[in-house]
Amino acid sequence: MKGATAVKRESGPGAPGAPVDGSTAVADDVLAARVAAGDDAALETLYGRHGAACYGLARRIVVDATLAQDVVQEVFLAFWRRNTFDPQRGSVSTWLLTITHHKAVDAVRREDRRHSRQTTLEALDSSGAAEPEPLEQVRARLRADEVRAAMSRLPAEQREALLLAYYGGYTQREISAMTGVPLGTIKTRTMAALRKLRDSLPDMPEATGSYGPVDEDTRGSS
Amino acid sequence: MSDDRMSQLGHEPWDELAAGYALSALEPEEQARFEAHVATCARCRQHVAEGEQTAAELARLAGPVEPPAELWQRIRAQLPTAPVAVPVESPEKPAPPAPVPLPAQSNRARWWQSPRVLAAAAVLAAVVVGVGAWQGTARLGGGGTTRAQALVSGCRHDPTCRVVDLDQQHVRRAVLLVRARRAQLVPTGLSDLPADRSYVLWQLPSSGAPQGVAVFRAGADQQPVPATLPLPLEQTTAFAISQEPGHTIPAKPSHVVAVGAATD
Repeated sequence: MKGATAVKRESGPGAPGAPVDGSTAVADDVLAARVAAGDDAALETLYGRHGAACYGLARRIVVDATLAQDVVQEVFLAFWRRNTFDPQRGSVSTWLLTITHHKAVDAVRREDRRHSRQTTLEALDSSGAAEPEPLEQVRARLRADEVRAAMSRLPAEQREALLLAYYGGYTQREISAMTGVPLGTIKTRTMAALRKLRDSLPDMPEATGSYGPVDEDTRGSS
Repeated sequence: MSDDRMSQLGHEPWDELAAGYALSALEPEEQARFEAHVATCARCRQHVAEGEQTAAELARLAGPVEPPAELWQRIRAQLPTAPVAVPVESPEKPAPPAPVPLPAQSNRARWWQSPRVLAAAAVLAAVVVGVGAWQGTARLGGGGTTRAQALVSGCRHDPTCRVVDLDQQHVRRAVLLVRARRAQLVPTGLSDLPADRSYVLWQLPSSGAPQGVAVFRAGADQQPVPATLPLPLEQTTAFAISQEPGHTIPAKPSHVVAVGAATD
């Protein structure tokens, strides 16, 4: 689909690899296979489905719009050049958001933009965000509400450790220095927070962990 | 903390590193040490996968933001020039297949074992059997003959026969019909080759090196190519067609022009 000027939006971040509306749209993992075979139209479709979620995440972390665009560009080019997506590891959506997070954190550390990071639940209110398709908007909103509720149930210190790491882009050592809490405690809190969050979220898929070694192109070097 | 010290403490320190890794919150030296460990630890791979899934849920708090319209154009401009895909149902002669660029060789995995290829093989099966629209349009293109069409149609209606579509950029290049170890390759969009080159059909096993199945040339008549598979279908991840110099099966494929998943 060379020269296309508009990217068709089919769904959003809630799609766990399958069309969300039961339509004849091609599932994400099938599109990922086509991307692996060099199909740029499949990449464009995936961008249409998940680009806004990736850009929204990148904007929250790096704040700067241009830098966030660079992050999203890197993510989809990495998906094209060295597609290590593995259906057993999770959905395409999870893969793209994971890589977006890695690259956004790398970018924010390189640019030293930590002062502007948004690391509280209140700051992460996305009600003003651009709206995707109506059906997916509802699904995404409901899921975000579930995540927000699950986060609210975490002990405050665990929630803080999680948000400082994920949205702040701070390393655990930096979090320890910032908060005055021993590094070992930060590590324990982070692990406990992730586990509690996973346990309290409905419909979390099984992860087999059967994927291969880490991909240097998609995992940041920091 | 040294690895020896960590081993004395049990696996808990690695579990903690897995959580930090999933959040990209490790220091560079911790990350390097953990990556060396996770390559050999199924438990940690499981924890990383779960951690990344959970972290991806955190991304939902950010909410989607529509990127500028020009961003896709920037991305598209960075993609290497690829052959224009010809729809499989096009009555026109398909474009000559260009080699599928193989992932760079790595000491971690051979290309057919790479996540990229395995993912493609795994989900292409869904394309073969699960997407009616694709099945419906998987017509023989180019020089498809009545005989070849009858062969494919017969296989599709035979429960003992497996149809494997070999595609390049979702353009059908050939169809492989498999009954036990006997196979027939029906070229549907393979171009004529220079006299000094041939196509080779490969069987990609679940483990081990690709097995060369048959060497053939696809002329304008696109005649079916009979072959005997060296391995059972159950032990096969995918099939591939490569372009090779000469007229013999080389030790490994060089320029892959089509690939298709072998099993559901």
